[in-house]
Amino acid sequence: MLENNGFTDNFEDALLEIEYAFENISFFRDHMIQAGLTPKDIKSPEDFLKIPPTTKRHYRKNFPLGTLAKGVTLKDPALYRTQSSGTTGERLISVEYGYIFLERAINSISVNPDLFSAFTSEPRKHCIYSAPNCSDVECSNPNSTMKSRTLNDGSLVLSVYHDLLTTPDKIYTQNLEEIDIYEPELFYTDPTHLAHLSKKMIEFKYTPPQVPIILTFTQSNQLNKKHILKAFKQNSKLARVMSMTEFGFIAVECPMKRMHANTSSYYLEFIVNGKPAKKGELAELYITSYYQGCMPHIRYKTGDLYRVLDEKCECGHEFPVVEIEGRISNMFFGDNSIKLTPNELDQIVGAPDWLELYKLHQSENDFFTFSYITNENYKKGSEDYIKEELIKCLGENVTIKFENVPYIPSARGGKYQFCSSNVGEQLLNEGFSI
Amino acid sequence: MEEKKTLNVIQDFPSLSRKIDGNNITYLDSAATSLKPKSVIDSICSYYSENSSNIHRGKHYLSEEASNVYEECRIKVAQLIESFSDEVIFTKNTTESINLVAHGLNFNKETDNVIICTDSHHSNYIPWIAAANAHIVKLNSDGVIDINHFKELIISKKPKLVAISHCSNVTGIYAPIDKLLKLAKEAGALTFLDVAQSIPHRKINVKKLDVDFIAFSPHKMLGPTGIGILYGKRNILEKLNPLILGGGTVDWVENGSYVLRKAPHKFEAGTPHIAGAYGFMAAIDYINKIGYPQIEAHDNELSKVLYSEAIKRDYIDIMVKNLDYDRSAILSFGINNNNNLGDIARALSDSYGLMCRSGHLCAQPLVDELTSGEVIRVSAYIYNTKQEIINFFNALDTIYQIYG
Repeated sequence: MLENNGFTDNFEDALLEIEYAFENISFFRDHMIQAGLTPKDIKSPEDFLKIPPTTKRHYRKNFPLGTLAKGVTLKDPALYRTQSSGTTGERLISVEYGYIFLERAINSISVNPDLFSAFTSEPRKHCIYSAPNCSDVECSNPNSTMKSRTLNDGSLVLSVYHDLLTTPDKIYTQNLEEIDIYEPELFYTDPTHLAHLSKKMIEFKYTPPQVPIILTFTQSNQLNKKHILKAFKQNSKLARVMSMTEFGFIAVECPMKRMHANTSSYYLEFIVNGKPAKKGELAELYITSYYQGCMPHIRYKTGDLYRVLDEKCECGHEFPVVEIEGRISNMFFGDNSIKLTPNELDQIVGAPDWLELYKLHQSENDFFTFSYITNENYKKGSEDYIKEELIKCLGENVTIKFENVPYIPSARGGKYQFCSSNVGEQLLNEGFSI
Repeated sequence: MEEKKTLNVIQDFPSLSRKIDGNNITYLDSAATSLKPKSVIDSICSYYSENSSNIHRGKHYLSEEASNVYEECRIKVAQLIESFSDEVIFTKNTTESINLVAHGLNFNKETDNVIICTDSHHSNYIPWIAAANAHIVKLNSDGVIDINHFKELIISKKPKLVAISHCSNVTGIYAPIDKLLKLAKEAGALTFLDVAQSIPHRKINVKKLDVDFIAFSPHKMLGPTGIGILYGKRNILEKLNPLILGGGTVDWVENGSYVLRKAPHKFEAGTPHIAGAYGFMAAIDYINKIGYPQIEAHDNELSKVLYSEAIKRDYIDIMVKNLDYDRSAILSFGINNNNNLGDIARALSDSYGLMCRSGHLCAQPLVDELTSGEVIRVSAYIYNTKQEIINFFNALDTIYQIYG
């Protein structure tokens, strides 16, 4: 068991959530009964492990009738709806009371004072820049207006194309004009999208507003950060945020650049082989909500892998320090075990001056393709260190094809992931657990 | 030794396991259309048996799944030809792709000159004649494109567009496209390249070629029929008008007006060939797995055998007798004093299981100029072997004794 980690401090709240969900959520009641359990069987963190995890599939299949609490209707104006990217197998609609989403976000972001201040200021002036399906706005339409892309809470969604590298300059120009008009107090962005806009800012000699930047939606890497910081030049106000459609914010980077998991809004478990992970071990995050809202989640298997770090952060915040390693569907596998995580790939590749964009894709068990776009600093052999390290991680019996290309496509929903794996996706769909 | 040079893929093609009247099939008509590997057939079937829904028109699971595959196919095509995804348009076939450009650029039939070539397929010939003031590049004494005449026309006619065929579907000869495209570009013309016969065998990189449009048909490269590809440079596609309009091509419609979507969607009206995209994606995967260098080497090898066997026989009248030209494994020929080539092709098929083409090959200007009438065409692909080609000539020798 993890000790003194802050994860089990609010266990009583989790027990109340189980009772609430058992009484009010029909799919969860059936789920418990099928496992031969009632809330009375769960008294300790050890008992908690007996509850079979719930998954995205449960919430997709049973939405809305089986997942909404008794008496809740979707007409309730207090409800806030979120929707995942819509790609097959991953699509999901979640609803929760707006105040719950907000409270989770505020608790999470409390680890970063700059972000906290910008995030909570009124009126809200957040500039959202992400794949179209993430923002729920069909903003790839060149004919859309700022008004049509302004959300009810006042946030402005900037236009993007579905396939990032096909974005024409006129859209980037429009983005920069709209930023000037809107005068945002916070950028809420996808890291790869913002990295490309940042390059255009430099090309167009545009000076962006020096306001805090949240990097979320997809996993960030050092290369994206390098491109963003070239334009924004404000490392202290740039922070990664781990969020999920189902919950909102979960973990936020503090000014010391460490990710802190929000243990005041959730009961978090980091699980390996069905048991709590040891410090530093690669583990899957399971989340149990606290708030007895309209759609409680119990032992929700996120598909996201983390390491819990055994360290106190100099920032002084009490939330435990974790590192996000990536989604199972983006992991690289060999012999049904994980050989390389997106975070580890980021550590290998880094942010060399010859590299503009890259992606590692596993198409088969023994076939990988490393695609990369280079600039004028590239020399033959610049990528050799990546080849050597990948062979060390993935083994000598696999094929790793290196392609220096002019174009790397985004996923259909518009997200650009620097890691993708057919094997990981298939294993996740089959219920893979680490 | 001979079999080691083959690609060893015959087992992947179900139609090659079929027997007709006891004969094994030797398929030598791939310039018309290729056979399909099982993975392509399975992929097409999976669409109909597991999905069958429409794309881009709904939020249900099946629709999103099918939409994902359809758009993933577009991306695979883009990666295949080194373009961007929004520069790839799905059409019905190469012919429709060419018509889309010919009629979408709003040429003035009287005053806008285009240059076309005598060695082209009818599909890269007729649409230009119909849409613009077309000038035709002659053949030289060898029977291939006369580069000097090409230069003369480029200079004198100041064409808006030059349409070239990369590889002749009749002679199998590859045009010197780097040179031709450069000349056309220098004259300020748009460039259109028909790669229907070349892309099954050779890697096409549109960025390196710096070509404005290319067109090809998946069915000639292991994919399904009924789906075609048009690549166009993004800035030119913005100015190109759609050939047809309807559902899927507009962002907004109201009271007698409409706003077109951006490319490529403004060109794709109505429900497209979704199963075709499923199949073509599998075909691209199949080709990538073998690799273009291997496919091209195999094509070169078979081309050598075709022509070395043909010149041994004095009754065979090869179109373009100069064998120094770069050729694909396509051979078209007449037979001395014989106008019954259709009968010979039928006999090759029915008595020996050898499937080859006869006729004018949809390139009548070229065939008429180089022969006295029809020709027989033998065209090979990845599933053919050198031995099959030798068998073909042995069978032809026997039939010639009777018909010749």
